[in-house]
Amino acid sequence: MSRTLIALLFTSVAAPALAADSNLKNLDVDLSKVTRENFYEVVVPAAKKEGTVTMYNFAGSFGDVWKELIGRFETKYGIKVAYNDVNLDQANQQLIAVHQAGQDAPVDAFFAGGGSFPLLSSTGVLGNVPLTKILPNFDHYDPALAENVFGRAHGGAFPLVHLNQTAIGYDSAFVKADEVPKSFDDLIVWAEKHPKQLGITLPAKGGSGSGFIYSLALNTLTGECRAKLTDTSQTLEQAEEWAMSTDCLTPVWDYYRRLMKSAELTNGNADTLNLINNQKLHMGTVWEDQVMTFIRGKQLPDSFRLTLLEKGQVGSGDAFIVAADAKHPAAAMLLIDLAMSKEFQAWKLENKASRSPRTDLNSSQINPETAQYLLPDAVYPRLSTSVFWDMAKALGEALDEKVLSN
Amino acid sequence: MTALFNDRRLQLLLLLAPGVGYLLFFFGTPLFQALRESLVTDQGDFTLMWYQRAFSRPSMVRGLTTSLYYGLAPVFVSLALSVPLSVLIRQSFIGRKLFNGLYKLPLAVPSLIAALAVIILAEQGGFLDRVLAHVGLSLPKIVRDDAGLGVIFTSAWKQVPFMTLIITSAFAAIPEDLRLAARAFGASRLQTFLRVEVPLAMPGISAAVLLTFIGSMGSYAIPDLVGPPSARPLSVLMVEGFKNGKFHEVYAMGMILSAFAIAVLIAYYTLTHRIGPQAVTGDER
Repeated sequence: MSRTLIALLFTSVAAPALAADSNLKNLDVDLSKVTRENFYEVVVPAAKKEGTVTMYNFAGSFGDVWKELIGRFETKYGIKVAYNDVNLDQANQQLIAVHQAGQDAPVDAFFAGGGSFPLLSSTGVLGNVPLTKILPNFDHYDPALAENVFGRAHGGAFPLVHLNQTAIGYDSAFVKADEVPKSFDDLIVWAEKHPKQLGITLPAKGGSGSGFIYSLALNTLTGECRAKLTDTSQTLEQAEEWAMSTDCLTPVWDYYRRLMKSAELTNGNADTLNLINNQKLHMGTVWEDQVMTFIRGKQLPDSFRLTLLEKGQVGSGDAFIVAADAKHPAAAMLLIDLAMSKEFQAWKLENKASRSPRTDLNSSQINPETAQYLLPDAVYPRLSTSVFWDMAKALGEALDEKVLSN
Repeated sequence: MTALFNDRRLQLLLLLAPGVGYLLFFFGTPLFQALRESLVTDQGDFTLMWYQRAFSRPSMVRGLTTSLYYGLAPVFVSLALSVPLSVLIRQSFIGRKLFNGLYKLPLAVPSLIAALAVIILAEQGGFLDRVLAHVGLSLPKIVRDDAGLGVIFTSAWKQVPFMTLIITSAFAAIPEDLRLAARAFGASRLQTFLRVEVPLAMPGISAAVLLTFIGSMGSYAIPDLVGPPSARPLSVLMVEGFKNGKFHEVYAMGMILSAFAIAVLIAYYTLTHRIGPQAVTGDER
């Protein structure tokens, strides 16, 4: 009790002057003195004093996930959450604009796309808070993600709270177990044996497609070519220039030229799944979490299964961050902490196939009925590789020029 | 002061100001801004790079031809349906009033909804395909087909009511006396229609053609959802470029689309000048 009183006194009187290490301009807590051990003692009173927290969600399919989190948060802390669904690009620009105008941000906690880190950090709108080091529920956080995201250092300020995985999905009612492709070579052989039954999402129209082309390039390129492919220090423009001009990618274009003779190019992730549900395709490029949403919505058959190709397919993720100009930064940190709790992450995995960055959680700990729709433990996480989205986007554009428009 | 207001040129300018000023502000300013942005680099230096890219990259060239194709093809389909429909609407038949209301329904349906409806109904393995499967038939591929038939039919479905409305009005404006006179001088019903009514209605028909062409050439939702993934019109490429922050490139594509629309506008005036009421009244040249 006395420690709480001291913390209250500390946060209400002394802290504003001590918050110099952080760029959170409205934080009444000295972050340099906050540790995992004293986090709740220091931050909960400050958060309750703030009384409310505004949250942005960029992922349309995650509305029910955040509804669950908000219910738990409001019950536990009595702090009201104002929730908003937003367009990612518009929200990013809005944050940058208010930051440049010196105003408070309209959002405190922002569930932002994983690819937003370079923009948000370079423009100063990302709250410089080592969340992965001070939030108690990040105690089992994947060390590989704790300070880096997609090859860029974030110092703990850009923690992924949702991981997703590109995969090859197939209807097991039509594809026998011994026919399931294990490699990119197997996949093209299967497609040629079953013309127009494999759906490949156009990279420009869906992440399962751009993830597929980047995975293919990772599997094909070696040496200096591979080093360039994975050099995350490149800007999007540099990646585009390289993808458009290099000879390194010739094997990738050759693979696509051959693949397009027997596969169906689709207009998006949902389009691929829809065609599989209509039994016009039996296999396609997919996202693991979207498959679960479709199965739960009876938009895919129960016989639908997933696999990963040898040498790996890319996975991604999205982050929960504090805005630098947040009006309620303490409450935002508390909300992010609860989002990483083992109970909520397990619920998220069970209900949305949303993979967790927690090292103490995997598909063996969830209901077997749900687990059958997830990637098998034999392939995940073993064959999950990291993605460089700007390069994946550049490959998609080059594919359009080199293969599809010729 | 009074002398100033008596100046004919100033009077003319003041009289034109509401119309011309509106056009200059709401049409000219954005167009000028788009043109300016299409001619500069990210650093603000003058460049023709974005236009060079638009006319040299295979995807862009294909985008331009696809835009023209998606602009023209639905117009021909719509015209082939709208002219007979306009003639039919003028006739008296049972249920005409109901028909007159029903055919306009697609006007109220947003393009996005129309595209989604086509996907649900006409997709491979979709509703119609399943119905036909009961009698041993299958629906040809019209969603995501390489020829863009789905885009053309969906666009035409949206445009037929609009085109029919304009063409019906054009036919209705033709004095009945002219029709009767042609018949009195021995012209058949078909001759009267082709040689009297169609030329007289041509300003209305060509206006309908022009407006539907511009609308379908710039449409986004239908080609994006129903069209083939590999041949995407400039409108779809523009939205993609916008999402990726390639604003100068987007402006250049927009200017190219606008240039084509203006070219069609000029062609329209040329056409209506040559083929129109003058051709019937003998006033031509």
